[in-house]
Amino acid sequence: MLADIIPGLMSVLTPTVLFFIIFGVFVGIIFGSIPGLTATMAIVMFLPVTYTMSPIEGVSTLVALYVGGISGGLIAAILLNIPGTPSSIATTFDGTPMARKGEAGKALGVGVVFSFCGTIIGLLVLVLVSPLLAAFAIKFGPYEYCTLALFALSLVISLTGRDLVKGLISGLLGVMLATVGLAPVDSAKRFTFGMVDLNAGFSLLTLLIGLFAITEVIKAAEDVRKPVTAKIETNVRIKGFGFSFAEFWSQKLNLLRSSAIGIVIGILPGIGGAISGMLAYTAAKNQSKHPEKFGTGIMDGVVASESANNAGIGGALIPLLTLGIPGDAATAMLLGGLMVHQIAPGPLIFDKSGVEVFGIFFALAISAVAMLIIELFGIKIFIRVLKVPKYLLLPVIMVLCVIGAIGNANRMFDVWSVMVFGVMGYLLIKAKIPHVPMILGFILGPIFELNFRRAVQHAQIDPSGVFSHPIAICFFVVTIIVVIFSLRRQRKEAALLKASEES
Amino acid sequence: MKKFATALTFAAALTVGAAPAAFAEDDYPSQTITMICSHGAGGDTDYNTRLISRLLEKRLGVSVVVNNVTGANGSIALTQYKDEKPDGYTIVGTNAMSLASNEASGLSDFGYDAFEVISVYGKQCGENLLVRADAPYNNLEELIAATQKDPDTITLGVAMGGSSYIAGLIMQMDKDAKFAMVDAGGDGAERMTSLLGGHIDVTIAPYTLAKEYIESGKVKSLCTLMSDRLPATPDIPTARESGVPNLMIDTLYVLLAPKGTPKEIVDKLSATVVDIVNNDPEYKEAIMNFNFQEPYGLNVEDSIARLKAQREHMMSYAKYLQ
Amino acid sequence: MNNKRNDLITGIVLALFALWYFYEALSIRIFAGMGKAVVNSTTMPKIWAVCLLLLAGALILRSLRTPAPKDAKSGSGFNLGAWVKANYEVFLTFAALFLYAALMEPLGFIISSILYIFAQTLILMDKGHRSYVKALVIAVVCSVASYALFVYWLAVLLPVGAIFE
Repeated sequence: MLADIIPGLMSVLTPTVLFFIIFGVFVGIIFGSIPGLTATMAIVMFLPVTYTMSPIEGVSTLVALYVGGISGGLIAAILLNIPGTPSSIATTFDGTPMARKGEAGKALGVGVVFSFCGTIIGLLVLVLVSPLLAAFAIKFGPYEYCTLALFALSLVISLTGRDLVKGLISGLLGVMLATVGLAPVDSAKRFTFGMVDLNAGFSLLTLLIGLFAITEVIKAAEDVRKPVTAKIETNVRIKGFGFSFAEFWSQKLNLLRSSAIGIVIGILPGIGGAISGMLAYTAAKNQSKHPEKFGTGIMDGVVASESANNAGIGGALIPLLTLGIPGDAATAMLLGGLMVHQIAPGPLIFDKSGVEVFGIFFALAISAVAMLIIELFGIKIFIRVLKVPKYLLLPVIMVLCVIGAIGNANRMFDVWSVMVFGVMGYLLIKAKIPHVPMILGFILGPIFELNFRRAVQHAQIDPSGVFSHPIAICFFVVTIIVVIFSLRRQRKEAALLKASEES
Repeated sequence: MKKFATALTFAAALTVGAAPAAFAEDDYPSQTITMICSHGAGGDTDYNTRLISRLLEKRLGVSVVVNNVTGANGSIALTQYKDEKPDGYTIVGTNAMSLASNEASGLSDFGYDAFEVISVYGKQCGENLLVRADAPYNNLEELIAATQKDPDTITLGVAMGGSSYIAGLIMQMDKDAKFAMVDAGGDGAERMTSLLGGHIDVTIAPYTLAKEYIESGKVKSLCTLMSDRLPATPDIPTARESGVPNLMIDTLYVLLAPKGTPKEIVDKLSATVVDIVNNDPEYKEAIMNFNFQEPYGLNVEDSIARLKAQREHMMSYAKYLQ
Repeated sequence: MNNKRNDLITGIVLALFALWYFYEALSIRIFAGMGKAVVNSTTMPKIWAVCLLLLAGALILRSLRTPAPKDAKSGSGFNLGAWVKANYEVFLTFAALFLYAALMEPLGFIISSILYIFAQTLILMDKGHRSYVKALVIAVVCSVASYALFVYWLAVLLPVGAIFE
């Protein structure tokens, strides 16, 4: 197996492969950074092209697109307050406030560097302990997923801000939106009212565009007649990475914790990168000495979100390569790309395709470096986006979002969904109901319901089985503790906020 | 580069097409053909659709562009394109199992006859009945006997309403097997994971997914659900041979045209497709490498007969599917 | 609109939605095949509906308990005309978005996008500095470029437009 390392490295170090990696990262960043276009879409569109390439070229291109796409999302998240891809939702929490404070360059630098660190940590874990972790992943059955989803849902409380009732309402609305379409398990049609298009349900992408992109346009429309507030001078010229080594070093624990969260969520099939960023963000907030500063524009929040979602890449490749299980839409595409080239994922992959596997590892490492370099040089260009007046920028972004909505499944229905979600997003703002819990509910609701129903099926067959799942019991207990803990903290925070408003 | 060439052809085709497209059937095809794939990129239906489109492009001399229109087990694409303009420039690539089971489960209200059938042009390498290697049963008869001895304890992981569920249904009804059926996911990979993780005892998944585990001695295949043994795996018996004659699940890949497409066009496409499938060495190699598939191409009449038989088979279980 | 009344209206709307959702959940067909369980496709929706109803109730109660702020203007009902007047950029933006979606199939992606970008840019532009030429140039260039890129290179099915068929 180790004998394959050098041939693996050599297979990647050819001019064509290097070109495809740089090209893939570049295109991935563009897709990731434009709201409405996602990493997944970049892979979908280039997958057929890779069918005709050589195995290592094809797979390297796909990996590069994946890396570029996931990290590119941070650019729009920081500069526009619209997550470029679902996985960068949590980057908006502190990235946008940083940009508003005039620290856009620093925020981008932090995002890029920690994306890189996260990717490398994910890769190391993938190379060193993937069989071990794969064994852990398959231990997750219905009971474990059901309680894990419940645990993640309990985060809604930490993410609500000051009004708990409205936060929970938002989360519930998200869960309810996700029930439209075919039910989990038995595919019963729910809330479809005879419309064929509703059978497929709403996609996360259309909800994201509606809630984030359209509301940005609306905010700009509301501001048209408002007097221009003092312009914040954005420091376009940044030195180095935009932050000091001391600042970097202060984030080491945050980086490791967030990467670990990203890897674990990446390994577990079906959860997805959007959740890992939010999980890492709340974990960072809960363990911080100054949780009240989160959301006001501190680098900790960007670090947590970006290292988690990029570490998830390595995490997602673990079950993909060693078990043949794709964890999300993007890795499902990668699986197709591997099979076309006769790299059969599974327990024998190191024996049968060792060279290609090490090729993938090196391709991932080179992609990470390419991403770091391209984005660091790009920061100076990206940041100019802030200088483009919103009246020129936002309409064009809206059109790109519409293309993304159509390209998602090639149907017009998704465009209408975007528009309706936009109106909903506006009404929610007016009712002071936060948006983020809704996304969380929308993603986690179906995972919870599916696995809850499966767990009930298993429990009916063997009722005593419930107690033979230590991981599930552990999650359940932790959920209860977290709920109590965050309810108390939430109450304290709300009281503080209220007091500061009254004084 | 090829994509760019495609783009140029497409652009050229568009400019020509701007004049009212008065097409004659005998100079078909004269512009880009759009092929709608009903399932997502990366899967087996997508791969087969793209492969056939690429080879069709060579034969027909015009671009064949594949677009994935996904959702609800292919029913979104099928509903949307069954009434598309029947000019032969929009065709649908799907798998017949989705078509038939969507109708049987009530997800859609039409079957293959809502389309003009071009060709059944491929057959998947077959679903296998799988157990972990340390399971005490070595063939289908032993497994069924075991379920009768301990009814409702041996868990069979299926996708509710999918072909694996129907397979379970056939075993319960025809052979009085007493599985405890649980949902383990619509994706074969998901069911494999559940089996490996010990969450279920038996499952049904495509051979491609199980192959690596069979070879590494983690999983054993009790039988294939194809109607005939797969040439690549002559040792795996069929369920028919193992005493359950009704247990046949063939996943067929099929090309359909909107209803009303002229017969000349359908025949021309069909003949070209069947010729590629049966005579093109590149095709044969590609499907073998991807999926251990064997060439399997039927002309219009045989395709219709095959789809009709499959539909009747599925509809006889319809009441358990809704 | 003050907070109190805002919450009251939100609560009532959500409560009505929850009731309707629960009612609709009753008509979901329950799977009749094998392997059925005590939990079916209607269970979770019903639970979600009840939870939302409770939360909406909490919101209504809370808003009834909060004392009305002194500066609240009583008796002024919601007036669509007044709202549109005060927020006509918002209204126009939504109108532009919905028209965009509606016109896309008949007019095709390029023309509808040109119209949309043009309109939206003008809506967002500062009144004093409106530049029709700038808006038009951006609209045409971006629409045509994105169409070319996505349709020819990446094979996305953007609507060509019914009037061209």
